[in-house]
Amino acid sequence: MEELIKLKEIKKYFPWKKQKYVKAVDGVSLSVNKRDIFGLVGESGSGKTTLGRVILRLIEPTSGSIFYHGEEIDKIKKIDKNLRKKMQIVFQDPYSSLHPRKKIKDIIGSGLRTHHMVKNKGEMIEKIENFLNLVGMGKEHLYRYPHELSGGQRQRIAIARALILNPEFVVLDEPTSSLDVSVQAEILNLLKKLREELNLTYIFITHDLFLTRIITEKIAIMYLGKIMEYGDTQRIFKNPLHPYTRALFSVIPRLDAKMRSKKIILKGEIPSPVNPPQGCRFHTRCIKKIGDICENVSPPLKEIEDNHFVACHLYD
Amino acid sequence: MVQELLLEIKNLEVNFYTYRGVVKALNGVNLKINKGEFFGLVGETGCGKSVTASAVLNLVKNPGKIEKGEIIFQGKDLLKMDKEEIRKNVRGKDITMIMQYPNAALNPVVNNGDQISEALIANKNITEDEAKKRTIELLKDVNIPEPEKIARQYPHQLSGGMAQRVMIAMMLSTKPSLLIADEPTTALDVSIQAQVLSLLKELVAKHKTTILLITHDLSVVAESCDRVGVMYAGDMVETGEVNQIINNPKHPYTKGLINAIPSERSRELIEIKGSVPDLVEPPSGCRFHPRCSCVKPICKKGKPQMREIEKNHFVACFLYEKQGKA
Repeated sequence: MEELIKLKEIKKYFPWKKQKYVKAVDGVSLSVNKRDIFGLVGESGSGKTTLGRVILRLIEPTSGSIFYHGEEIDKIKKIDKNLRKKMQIVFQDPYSSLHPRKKIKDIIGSGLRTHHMVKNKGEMIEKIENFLNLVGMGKEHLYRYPHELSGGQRQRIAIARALILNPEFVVLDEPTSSLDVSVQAEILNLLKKLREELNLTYIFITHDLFLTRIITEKIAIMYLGKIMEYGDTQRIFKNPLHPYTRALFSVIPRLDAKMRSKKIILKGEIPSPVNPPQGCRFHTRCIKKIGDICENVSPPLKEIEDNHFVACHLYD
Repeated sequence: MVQELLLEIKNLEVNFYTYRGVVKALNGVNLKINKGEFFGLVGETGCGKSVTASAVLNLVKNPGKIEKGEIIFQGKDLLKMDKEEIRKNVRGKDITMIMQYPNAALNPVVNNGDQISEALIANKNITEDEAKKRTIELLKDVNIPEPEKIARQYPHQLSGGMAQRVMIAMMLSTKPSLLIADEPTTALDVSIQAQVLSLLKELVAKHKTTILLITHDLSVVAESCDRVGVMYAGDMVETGEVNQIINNPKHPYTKGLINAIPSERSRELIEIKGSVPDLVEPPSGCRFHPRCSCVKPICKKGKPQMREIEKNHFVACFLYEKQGKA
């Protein structure tokens, strides 16, 4: 399988008051294969959104390298326009990601104009119509404004806007979390269909674990800016190893009473990323803590079985 | 065990008079909640679950209007009661409510302790010192570590989960008969959601509080509630015990909803075709018929009545017309 994106030790620190930093992403390495859906999972404050934006270089990483098709891209001073075209993003909230005073045709078409991808207006409208059809909408929507559309329809517009530039790779930042469940199913099935048709690779950012099981090939579970567990989705679901992953799995509400295991309710809240715990980030809430080593040494990601990595001293 | 009825809503109709026309938000909703029950009300955006809650609290404001129906709470019809009496003796006292965004519901310039004490003093004729003591106890009841410290802090210093606990403590201060929780965990992370839900369950078990949980998440209901009501576009379409609804759903909408959510059961997501109707011009007959896969000609004409198809399991659908009793 061909590797599309590779991250090496990505760090993003945001300055915070005197000489302090919010360590939003703190040393993340991973690789995304071509045509995969890669799930980035975590609770709020885990750094998943920041990481998604760093990959696109919408924000610059503090350190680390990003490889795209094996070529390092973060050393280029200004990101190449052609590269920008290949990487797109769909944001979480379709109510704030679409310009309220622009018509749908202008929202979808502005990228085409920027990248000089069409010769004239007629061609542009034709292309926009094609993509509206592709996302399940019609030309009657061309001259409407975002406020005339429902949440699901707006998200379709946001998807059309991202895809019209023929990207190879799209970051989907919680694309369905502000939508109703029946609409969510629609959008996810649409995204899956589009991946097949257009040969896309997705990074899917979400906090919903069951969702990742249905649509992703690989996942990374993040906590306080670090990856706790990473690898093949089915394998992780079958055999979660990190105490944090296990706790997360145990608390997701389930439909069937039979499927419920004993809940591991984590005490307290996620610590502040300004002053994250020394050693393993999770040790302050971990029920499997083995001792001083957890408090002092940050565990590296280790391959426990084929394509299944864990950062935990339990498996040293 | 004979169950005592706490709240009964009969044929409740609520309309909103907007510039676009009359939004028929509730279309004759029936609901019964017994004492000591954890009842879940599920549905998607715009199905009328929050409007039902506001009707119970007499908070349906202009341009909304309660057209008809009865809301019988502890034997009295709230809709016939004097508004001032409801304000004094029911809302915030016998029926309390926690909201989705606790930080928006708490007063940002009053410290947490004083907000709770204020409610105690207003409702209970006790001195300030007693109220303060009681506040600390309440905060302990909702599993807040270091209650004295939290009481001195302000809402902005709390995380979402903590703020929601402070809200719960405040709402329990008057020992209400009914606690309405409107999407209390939607804004929280799963690990914090688990903490808050287990707290609510504890309250039902320990203090015999009755809880009406409003949520869009069927799995949350499956985990915590005793009975469930499923709403769609202003109609109650199915009610029953949790395992009946989850394991043996009858209404096509309930079935669709279960197939559409990512859960441990799903291998793929099956969408419900179409979208929620505009309630200014709701579909005729059964409001679900344009999206229903089992639609029959009769569905377009009449509104299906709730029928009991097994013990405690009611469904409003023409598919089951011949079974069960109305």
